[in-house]
Amino acid sequence: MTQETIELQFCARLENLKLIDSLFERLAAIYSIPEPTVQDIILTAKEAAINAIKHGYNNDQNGLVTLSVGVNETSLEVRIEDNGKGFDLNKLPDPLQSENLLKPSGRGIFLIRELSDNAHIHSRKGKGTRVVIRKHYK
Amino acid sequence: MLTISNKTLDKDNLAILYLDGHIETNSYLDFENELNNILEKGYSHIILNCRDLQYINSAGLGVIMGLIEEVREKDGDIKLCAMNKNVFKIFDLVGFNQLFEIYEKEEEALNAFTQR
Repeated sequence: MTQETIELQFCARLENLKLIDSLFERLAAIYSIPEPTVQDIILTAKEAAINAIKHGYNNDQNGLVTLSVGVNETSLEVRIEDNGKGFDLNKLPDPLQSENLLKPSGRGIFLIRELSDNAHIHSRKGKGTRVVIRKHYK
Repeated sequence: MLTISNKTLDKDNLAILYLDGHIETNSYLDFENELNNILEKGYSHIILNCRDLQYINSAGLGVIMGLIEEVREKDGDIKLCAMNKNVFKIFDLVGFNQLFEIYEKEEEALNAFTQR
């Protein structure tokens, strides 16, 4: 099975999230990835990138976000990495708990996990965060 | 990109917002401003018509969550309608179906407000 890998690196600016749309829309056209699947992939990749920019780097535009995508005939693997401040995964609240349902934030990682077939999140305080998302499209 | 238009029914304190496009990091503030404008004008019965909404991310969900308590304190509510399958999936995943009434048709949401 052939695999194509694409890597992008961009400054930690929210304007750069447009790159994620462009990249996956292009890949969807090349690999005939169904629209609902592409939407899930774009949403999860962007949630991870937003976390990197806003929380990893505290919107410091000197930070760098690396996005790499491996794609073959049946699935995609998306990696989003930053070298920001990291976070403690064990302290993430469950957004479905009744005390959290009405909170305006705290759903990004939850959506990444729910909308991907498989998501690995590795974060170390002071070292950064790596999110790896896998999604089958056939 | 997000385009929002609205229709108001003064006698019922009701506003319908028609959401067209994407609610995400570069547009959620427009959405929040529009909702705040509607509230400031005294409309507390709000229908979000999602027929042309293609996409909503956690920032957009946060706007609705951030305002719902204020709306309900004014004896109002936010009801949603006409969302496509993909958008409904997002709302469903994060438990919005427990907190909000979601209707297939705008008319049903309208009736839920006006026939109380």
